[in-house]
Amino acid sequence: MAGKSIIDVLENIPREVIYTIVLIAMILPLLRPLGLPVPVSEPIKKWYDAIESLPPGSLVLISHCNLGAYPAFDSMQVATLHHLFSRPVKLVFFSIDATGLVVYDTLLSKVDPKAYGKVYGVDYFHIGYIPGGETAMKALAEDFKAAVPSDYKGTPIDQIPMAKDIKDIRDFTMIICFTSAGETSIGWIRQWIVVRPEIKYLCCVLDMMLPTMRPYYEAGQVAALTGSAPGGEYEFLIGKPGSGIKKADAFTGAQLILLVFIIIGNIASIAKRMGKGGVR
Amino acid sequence: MSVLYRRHIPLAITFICGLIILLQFFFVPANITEPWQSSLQYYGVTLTNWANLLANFIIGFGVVNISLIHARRIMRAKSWVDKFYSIWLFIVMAAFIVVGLFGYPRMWWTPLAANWDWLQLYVLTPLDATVYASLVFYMASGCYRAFRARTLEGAALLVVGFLSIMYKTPLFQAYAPWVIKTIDWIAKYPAVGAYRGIQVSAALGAILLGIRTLIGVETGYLGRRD
Amino acid sequence: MADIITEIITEIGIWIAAFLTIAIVSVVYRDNPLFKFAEHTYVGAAAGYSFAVAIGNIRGYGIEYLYPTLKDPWYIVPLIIGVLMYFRYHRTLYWLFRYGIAIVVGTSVTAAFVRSIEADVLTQLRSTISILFTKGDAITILGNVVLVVAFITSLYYFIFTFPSLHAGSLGYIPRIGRWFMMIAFGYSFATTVVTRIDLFVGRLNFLLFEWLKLPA
Repeated sequence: MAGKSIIDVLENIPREVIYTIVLIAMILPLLRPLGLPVPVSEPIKKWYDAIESLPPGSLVLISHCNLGAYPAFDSMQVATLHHLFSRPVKLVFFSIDATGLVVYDTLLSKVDPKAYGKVYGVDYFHIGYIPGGETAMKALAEDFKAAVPSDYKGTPIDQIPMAKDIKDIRDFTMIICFTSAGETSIGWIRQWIVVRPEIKYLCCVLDMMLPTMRPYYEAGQVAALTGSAPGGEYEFLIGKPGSGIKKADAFTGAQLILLVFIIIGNIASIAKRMGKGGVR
Repeated sequence: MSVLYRRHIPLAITFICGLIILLQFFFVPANITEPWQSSLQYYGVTLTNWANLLANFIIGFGVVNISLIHARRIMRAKSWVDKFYSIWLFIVMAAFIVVGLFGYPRMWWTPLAANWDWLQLYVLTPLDATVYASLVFYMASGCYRAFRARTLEGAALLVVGFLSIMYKTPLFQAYAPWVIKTIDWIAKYPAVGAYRGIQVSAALGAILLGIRTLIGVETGYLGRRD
Repeated sequence: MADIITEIITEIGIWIAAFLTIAIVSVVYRDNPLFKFAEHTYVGAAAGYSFAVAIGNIRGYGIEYLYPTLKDPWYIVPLIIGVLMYFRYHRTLYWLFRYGIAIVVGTSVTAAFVRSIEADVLTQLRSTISILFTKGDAITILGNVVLVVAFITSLYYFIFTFPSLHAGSLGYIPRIGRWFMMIAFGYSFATTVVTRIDLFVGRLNFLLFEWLKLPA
């Protein structure tokens, strides 16, 4: 470091140092939770209220996330399933991505439907993965049984008791979508909400997609919109603490460090530009 | 003559398929009353299901393309290490295909169902999930190196970005309500306005592209030139 | 005995998953053989996985209509067209591929754009205009005006791209639009940061509590 000013050092912190500090800032709160309060934000309240106000017997379509995004959606999906299984509603699971089927198995290993007295085929079932993106959504809306000849395990749809009454989009009350793809979150609006605006659309996206989804929410096409990050708030609200609450502390740790790095970077850069070389 | 079945017929198929979907959209009401509406609905639905079925065949192109690239690489690679990576790729791909064909629940005979689950859970899951997740480090480095106020517009980006990171931090959510109110306002008004402008522009572009595709002006999807 | 074997197999799986996770993350340090190995494993696994699932779906959504009971004989058509698509790699018969892709493109493109008119354009315009007539406190009214100005100026920025419309006194409109976009991107940047942390913390949870089995 000889001959380098403090400003120079601050302006050129090696990336390995940044990575290590950020990593520690994420790990420490996971091992030693800070126990910070978890204020429940407005979007999560809306999400909760929408599910809570579902009339008994409502049919809900759940389009869950793909494998790559699972670490982000874990807590929101698990908490939503706990909430849904505790309500007298029927669920149809759907995967818009080939890797989604693994996600479904993982979810059900964390939320046991039997604990809520729910039976496969009677209270819920999975229609599998249908490729095609928006055309798959369109097919489901128009003629459910033509689009879904069998469930995800290959059982013919006629042998699934709860599928007997499902004809098309008109039988559904709500869609809940967890996705890391913009064409999926907007696709449901195009293929379902435009056709039947009465359907309540709950959309959970990666936080980075919130700005692009917000115009649709403000236009009334989405009933509840949230990012995946505040899963802890939802766990707190339904009284099922899980990975989301722990995550909240890791967010605080990592983001505080990032804020500090932004400040350091800017101070160093401004000081350098003003020609104040700093203390040698 | 050959241009007829090589080019004109595929373009006509695109147009007819699009036309059926258009007619279905505009002329089939939610409550079907006329027999012709019912027929149109049937054609629209069948066509949509056919497109979904054909999309499965397209997935196979990925396997063929990867195989071609890596077969070439094995033949041309100079070092054994490079050959090893491509050979390993084939081994993993073959393992997934073989176990999948006898383990994926929708197959006829599934004696390898448990192995299929294992492969998904312990090989595919960590890889798929970590690829996106590891970008956090580049993001951190980017925050420090690139997020600097060099121009006035850059300063606006920086200030809003900085406050927005605070807004998304649980600590500030609990103890700095003014940040929450400020960014809530920005997210609800100027950000929605700007993004809506961007999205409407993009949608108009996509609609135009769709019409050009239907009428045969846009032909990139047909692949190589004749 | 069977339980012990299952446990061992599960444990081996967790160790492999941990190894692959660390191998992928190692690229942030620099490109290395460990990452290359994981990268090739990933490409092979993803391709093989999709292929197996696609075959399963062709059975479920196609062959099932024909066999073991004949439900709809017309499904032979997409199945044949689907197989013909693989002539894409043939030197002279490559054009057979186009029949299948024409059905997929014609159907999916139309299904998307026809609904996009309502979902992405008309509803957005209606919502923007209607908020001008919404009553509320001063901050809400100010917000609504800002929203409309931001909308019009950013729309102008992208739609009216003739150079003459971005110069002179008219140049103020796209310039204002750019300011609003900068504000919007600032907010976007923060949400991207949060997403990356969110995803990585998910993997850390696996490494710390499932692999190393540290007390939660």
